[in-house]
Amino acid sequence: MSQPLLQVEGVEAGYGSLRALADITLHVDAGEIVTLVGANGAGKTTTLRVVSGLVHPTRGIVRFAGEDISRLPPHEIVERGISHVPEGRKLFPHMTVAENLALGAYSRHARARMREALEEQLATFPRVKERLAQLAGTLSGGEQQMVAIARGLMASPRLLLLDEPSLGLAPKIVEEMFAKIAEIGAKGTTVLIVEQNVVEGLSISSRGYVIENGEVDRTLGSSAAELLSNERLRSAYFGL
Amino acid sequence: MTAQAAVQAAINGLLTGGLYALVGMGLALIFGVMRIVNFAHGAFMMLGMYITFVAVGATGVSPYLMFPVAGLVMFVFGALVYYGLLSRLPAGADFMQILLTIGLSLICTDAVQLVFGADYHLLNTGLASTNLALGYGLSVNAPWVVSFAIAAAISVGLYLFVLRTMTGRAARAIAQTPAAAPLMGINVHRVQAISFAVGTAAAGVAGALLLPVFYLYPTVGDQFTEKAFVMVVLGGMGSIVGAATAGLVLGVVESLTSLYWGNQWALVVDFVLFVLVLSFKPGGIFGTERA
Ligand SMILES: Nc1ncnc2c1ncn2[C@@H]1O[C@H](COP(=O)(O)OP(=O)(O)O)[C@@H](O)[C@H]1O
Ligand SMILES: [Mg+2]
Repeated sequence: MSQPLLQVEGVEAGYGSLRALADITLHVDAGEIVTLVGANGAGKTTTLRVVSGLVHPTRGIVRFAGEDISRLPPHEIVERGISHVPEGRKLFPHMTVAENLALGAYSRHARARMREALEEQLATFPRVKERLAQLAGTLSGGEQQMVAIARGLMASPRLLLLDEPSLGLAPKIVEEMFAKIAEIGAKGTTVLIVEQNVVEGLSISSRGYVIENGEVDRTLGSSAAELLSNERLRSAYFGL
Repeated sequence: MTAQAAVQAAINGLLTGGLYALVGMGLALIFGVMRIVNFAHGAFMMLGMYITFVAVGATGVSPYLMFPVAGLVMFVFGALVYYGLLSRLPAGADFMQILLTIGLSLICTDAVQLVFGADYHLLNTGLASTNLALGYGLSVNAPWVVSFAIAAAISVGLYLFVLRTMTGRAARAIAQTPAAAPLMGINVHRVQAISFAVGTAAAGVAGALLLPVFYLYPTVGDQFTEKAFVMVVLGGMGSIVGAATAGLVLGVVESLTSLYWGNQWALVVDFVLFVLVLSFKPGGIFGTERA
């Protein structure tokens, strides 16, 4: 019970000549829900992309369960137990919901327990069950987000990365979404969320990090309760 | 001209269309998954013809038993082309891709011409003059029927590969949402290599099946590259079902055009269709978005 499940240390990364991340250091312990907050363009999505291997860091290291994964391709990172639900859902629109879920279990370790995983997901998301035979592109935004999360969980991950799961959803659906995420965490999946709905995100989290211009703000502690009551954050991000 | 002649032309066109369908499905698979505009597709088909020609010459075995050889060799060739050339191009280098496949097509054609010369060959299977009577004065030529049947079976196999296998599913996932595919654990390079190799093998097998019924010469593939593009556009970019349907329709339309207006009009009609569909129905007319 010593090392964190995910450890990001001094990561620098970017796109071509653009440096999106300057110095990101954070960790997520097994069983935690952790939220990343920060302004648009701060580097939250890029941080998740570094963890899932879509972007390779130019400096620093990413460790998962102690192993250096910073040079691995995405499909091998999925195999090790990290599942990334991308910003904007990114479903396969001309496939049925059932096929989308099956693709979530594409990796070798997940394929072996595809049936169990499907049953678990359909129990967590009863609305997804009603839509199994429908083409994913025809679902409402809320339903699409549920399918995207269920698809991510089909990989039977140890760590789930969620990028703005509440983006573009009606307030009532947002509430439901966060309840589901809390439920997923309670069932034992470790979760790292990027969220614009800062209060809702931090409320279901044990800890959080504030990212600004590609750096973690080190002047702030990481406990969610502390962040929620911080005066500067309240005015900057919570609109309170 | 009689109705009987028209029906006979339509039947002949359908048989030709079966082979077109296989060529078109191969290109649709390659275009659908990789957005590679493969100008070497007809040259790959031509290589399939020559491979079969050589294999039949060396063993004396019927070309109808040799198509797996052409398929296998072209599968490996396709994988090598993908890993050796295409995967090295930077993402989004569409123009370089086009130049590369045009260059590849020229190299294949010239290499074959260097080795085999520019002469026309015709492989005699002994079936060529066998016609099967259908009644009402209609008949079908035996070698065409055999080629059509094998092409149809392989087309169904390709369809099942794309729709039912995990690799086929992964290929469609890459085509529909490339950004999400790697997050599913899909090894995108590997699936693209397999798709390109399968598409290339389809062209090679189509070449093998065309050999008993068509003249063989180094540039025979060029017209098939053109036709394959017409099929992919009519079928809706990347839909293999659409491309197969378009292949059958194209065969019949060409055959009827030749009957009524003369052979020289057949290719003109192809391209008129091509331009009309691109201008007024760019999504194609036979495609399904699923496969
Ligand atoms: N695919 C990309 N290509 C080039 N620049 C990008 C790309 N994605 C993001 N960026 C840039 O990287 C920086 C960080 O972006 P991002 O990580 O998406 O921020 P956030 O998710 O916090 O809004 C921004 O300046 C953005 O413009
Ligand atoms: Mg973002």
